[in-house]
Amino acid sequence: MSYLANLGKIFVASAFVNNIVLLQFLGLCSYIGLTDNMHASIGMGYAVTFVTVLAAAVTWIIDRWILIPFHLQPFLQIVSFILVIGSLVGLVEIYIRKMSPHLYKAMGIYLPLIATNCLILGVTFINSLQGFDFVESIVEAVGAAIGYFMAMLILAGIRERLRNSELPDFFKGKAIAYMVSGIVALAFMGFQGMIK
Amino acid sequence: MKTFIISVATVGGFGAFFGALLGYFAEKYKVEENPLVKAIYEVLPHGECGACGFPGCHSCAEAIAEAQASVDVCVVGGAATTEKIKKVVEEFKNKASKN
Repeated sequence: MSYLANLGKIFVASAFVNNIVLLQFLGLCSYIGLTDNMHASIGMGYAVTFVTVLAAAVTWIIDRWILIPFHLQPFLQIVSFILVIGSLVGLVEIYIRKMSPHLYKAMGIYLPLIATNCLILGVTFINSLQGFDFVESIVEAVGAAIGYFMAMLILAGIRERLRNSELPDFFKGKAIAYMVSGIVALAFMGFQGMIK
Repeated sequence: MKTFIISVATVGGFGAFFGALLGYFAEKYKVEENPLVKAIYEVLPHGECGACGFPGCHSCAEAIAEAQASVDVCVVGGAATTEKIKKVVEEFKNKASKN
């Protein structure tokens, strides 16, 4: 198989077949917390995309050029990866606070919480475990981030429509959000077996 | 022992590098804060208890500065803090009228 076809396969696998939110259940905190507001979920999608892709690039370099040559690989991985992710989130936070105070307010506590979002750490670990090279890691990160973005948009759209529809009282709010995401996850299971 | 030293040096190096990066960007993209908010925040008790109905003392100071909350909203500080906040707000009003 050519290199390009392999990249395409990795992308489709991480965005659809193994969708990071709906089928691997990573990053659920902001997925449920922010989707009651379309504007905030789009902003969060961009922020997570930026942090995931950059973190995948930086952690690949650290993993291959520092941790593996010095035989520090299994035990220093979590500490150094979290350090990278935390710093990147700090940068994004400073930038958004300056450029868009409105979005900063809408995201509230979820913006600093990207630092502990398991989605991003998950992607860096998948890259390391699968032994991806640099370009493959970036493609995997872009795919995972787009999968997250897609899940956010789907749930935010559905929840905006649900707000104006008649629901039994005990379904309102988070309860129906969980049910809807379960159904969407079932739909995403249809992608299973697409890639052999 | 060798692994230990290398580990400490590596993580220390990462920390120093990213800390410097963050410090540089925090300085470059500094947000000008409302001086009234800062002045009110300084006289609040910093208990971060949330009894005023805001998530913390800083949000409380913001609300008072924007006149969305009254000056006696802080329960913990009591009358003394209310007096201080009144004084700070009046000082700022006087300054604004002079300019």
